[in-house]
Amino acid sequence: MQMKTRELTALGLLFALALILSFLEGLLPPVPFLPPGVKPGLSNIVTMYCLLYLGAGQALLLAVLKAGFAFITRGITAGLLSGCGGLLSIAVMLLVMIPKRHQASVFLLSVCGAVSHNIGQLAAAGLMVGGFAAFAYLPMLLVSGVVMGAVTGLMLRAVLPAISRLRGINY
Amino acid sequence: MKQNDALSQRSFFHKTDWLAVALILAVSLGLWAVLFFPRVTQRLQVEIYCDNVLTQTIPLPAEDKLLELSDRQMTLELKDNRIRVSETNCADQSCLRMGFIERAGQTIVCLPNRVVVQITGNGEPDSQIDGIAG
Repeated sequence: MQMKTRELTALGLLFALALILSFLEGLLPPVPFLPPGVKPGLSNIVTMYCLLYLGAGQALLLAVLKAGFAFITRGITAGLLSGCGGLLSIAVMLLVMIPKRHQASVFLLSVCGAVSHNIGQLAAAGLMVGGFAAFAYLPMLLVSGVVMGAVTGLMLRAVLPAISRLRGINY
Repeated sequence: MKQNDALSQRSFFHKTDWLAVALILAVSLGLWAVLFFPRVTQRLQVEIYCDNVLTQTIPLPAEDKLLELSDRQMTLELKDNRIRVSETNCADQSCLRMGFIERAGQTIVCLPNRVVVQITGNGEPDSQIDGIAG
């Protein structure tokens, strides 16, 4: 892939931002009795921004980078979970973006992205333990995907004016 | 680089988005009902899978005991007909944080250890009244 310096720089910045958001999210204390995966998914804000402004290729690359980072720092399990969630999430958001006449809303994109991220992670977990046992977490993860998707969508909307001002300067 | 501002042109919310939300929540509710249905109709059992092989089945009610999965340094605690992971050597400890499970459909998954503990209906009808009242 031939990439312009500006795009490369932008992608590097977004990657760093995604890592920071994931790290901050990891500082939140885990909630007992909730399955792992019920979390805000703040780095989905970055993924969506990347998808909408830099395009599908860059967003997919970002997901692969994130999975690679998870693999290096937290091992194969975390890497696979991150990769399957991230890639499925982008694939589904791309599908939702296809209709041009009735353009999908940011809210819909965000919710579909969050829900499919959870489904992708569960699929990866299912592959690892074999079988469908992990899908017992699915009902709760679907609800959490809707709620967290709405939250991250709102956050993207909220920070957008600031990002738009920076865009002319950064790249 | 696209010059148009893709996001500010895109509206934040359409009324039809409620349909998508309703659909996802309906699927969630349906799955939940299917998974948890045996609770009221069948007697329950604990199933323990290691590497996707069913290694132990414990019909409930059962006496309190500790189950050591020695080959993967994990201990399960069966107490008051509930079961939890009480000790594990895995890094993320999320299986431990799930706490006790006691109802049909509830599952604990430990990915690093490839262990699944779940409670299912065992096919026999439950005649116990307090089983229904739960």
